Amino acid sequence: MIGARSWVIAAIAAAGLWAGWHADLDPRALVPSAGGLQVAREFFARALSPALTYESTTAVPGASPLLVKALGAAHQTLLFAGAAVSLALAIGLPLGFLSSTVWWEGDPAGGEGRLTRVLRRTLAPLVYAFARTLATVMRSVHELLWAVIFLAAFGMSHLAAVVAIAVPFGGTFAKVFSELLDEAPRDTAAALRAAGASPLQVVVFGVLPRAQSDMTAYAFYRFECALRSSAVLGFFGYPTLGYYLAASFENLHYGEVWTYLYVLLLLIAAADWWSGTFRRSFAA
Amino acid sequence: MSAAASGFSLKAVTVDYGRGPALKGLDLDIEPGEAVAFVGPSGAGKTSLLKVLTGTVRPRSGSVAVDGRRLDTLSPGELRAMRALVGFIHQDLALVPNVRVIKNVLAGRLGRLSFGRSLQAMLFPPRAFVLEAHRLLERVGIGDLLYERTDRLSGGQRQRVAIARALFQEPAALLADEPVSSVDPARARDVVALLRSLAQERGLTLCASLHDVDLAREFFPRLVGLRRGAVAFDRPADRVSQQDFDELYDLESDPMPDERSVGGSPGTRTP
Repeated sequence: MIGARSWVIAAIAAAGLWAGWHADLDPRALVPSAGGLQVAREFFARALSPALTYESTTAVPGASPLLVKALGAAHQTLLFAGAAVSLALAIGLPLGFLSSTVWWEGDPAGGEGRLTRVLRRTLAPLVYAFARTLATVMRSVHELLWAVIFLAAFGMSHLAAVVAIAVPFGGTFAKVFSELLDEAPRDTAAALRAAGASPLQVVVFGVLPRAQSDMTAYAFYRFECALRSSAVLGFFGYPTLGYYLAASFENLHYGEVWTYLYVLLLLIAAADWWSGTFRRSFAA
Repeated sequence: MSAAASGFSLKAVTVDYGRGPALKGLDLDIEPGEAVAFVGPSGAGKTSLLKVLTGTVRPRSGSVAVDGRRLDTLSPGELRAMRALVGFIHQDLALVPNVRVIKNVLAGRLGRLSFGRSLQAMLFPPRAFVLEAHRLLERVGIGDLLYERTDRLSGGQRQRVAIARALFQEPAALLADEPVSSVDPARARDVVALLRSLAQERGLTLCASLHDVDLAREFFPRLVGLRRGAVAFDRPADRVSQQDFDELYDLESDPMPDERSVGGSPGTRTP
């Protein structure tokens, strides 16, 4: 007896095979060439012995020690990510609020004025649709693509990198925040409405607090993502970890590459630790 | 403190959520300062009745008057002012779990504050509010939990927060929906006794829906038995017989759908 679930699993497997066939996914491509295997071996051989000093034989006079440079790059990565997430939150919070339905649910038992009701039924759906469309446009383009566009438009400005991260992140914040608000329990909202609170008070004090802890957790997670994105933007020449990582990789200084990777790992781990501590101790 | 207790008058009130009536032509008068228990099986209309009294559910037909004023004639602002006079202790308590206890208590006053004042009161509570919230929490027995995070409290303590919030509202009437459902049976008696004494010392009208008929009989001078959305009996407690209760809970004939699944507020999910 084949149940419905087996059919679904079989269908998913068939779809995967079909897609793999048509996308020309040949498993033989994963067999490395002899040279490639050599590079990989050399690269991973340094995993447990990251460089503590420069591997270059021709030392640049006056250059700061490797670890100081790595920490400086980490600091820059942190600054870009922090600025980008702050800007993304400034965009995503209001946009997410407008992309949700919480602010135009109304009061079925008549605790709202006629003007409020008319506006809620006419203007609100338009604002809602506009906000959702804007958020979709913002996040449908990846931050690296935004970076290419902004670099072409503004040149190598630091603000261009920050905005390139903030735009798609803001759109993602808007989408996730709107869903968290829509899914937040409405019991407190109903209780405040029953206690005579106005529609605005109901949203601000009854709905927002119920979504706040999930929103905080998600904002911290996106901060982690921003650290990675900010590091990668170094490939474009910004002084973040990616810049030095790419340079060391091109010079085949794998020990240095590992040093930068471990610094990035520490940065992400620190952000995760901060997020956990903050959210455990926080109480409004 | 409120000047006077609220009285309620319901005439031929019918409430229908679209799947059959929850209340069918119900008549009921509650005098200011009275203590009334609504008893009856699940689905009898107890919660709907309480929601009609707070003005959060609008009857399909019939009239509801609070202190002699018909709710359907009130402007939105007047309706909110009326709601602010009625403190409601919800069955699921409806507290915000991830904030301090004091915030939940302060939220009771929102209906009397402008948006600007309420923002100020919630973010930077004035000293008078803090003292008053503390005094109320002390009165309900958890004064030391003022700054505790609400989700660290036990079920019984949370219920007392919900009671303190309703009192901070400065109500003229106190309504409680199944106030003993979230505490263990041993504490149920304490909670009902607390509600009763709070209403007495503040001169508030008290209405509570109760499953436990013994508690209802012990603490409430007047019992209203509800069955299938209508009043089955409405008598002083000492004149309600065991047979009245037996008839009330005799669901052999024509069972009603569960009340909460029909009329429950849409936001009772827990995260």
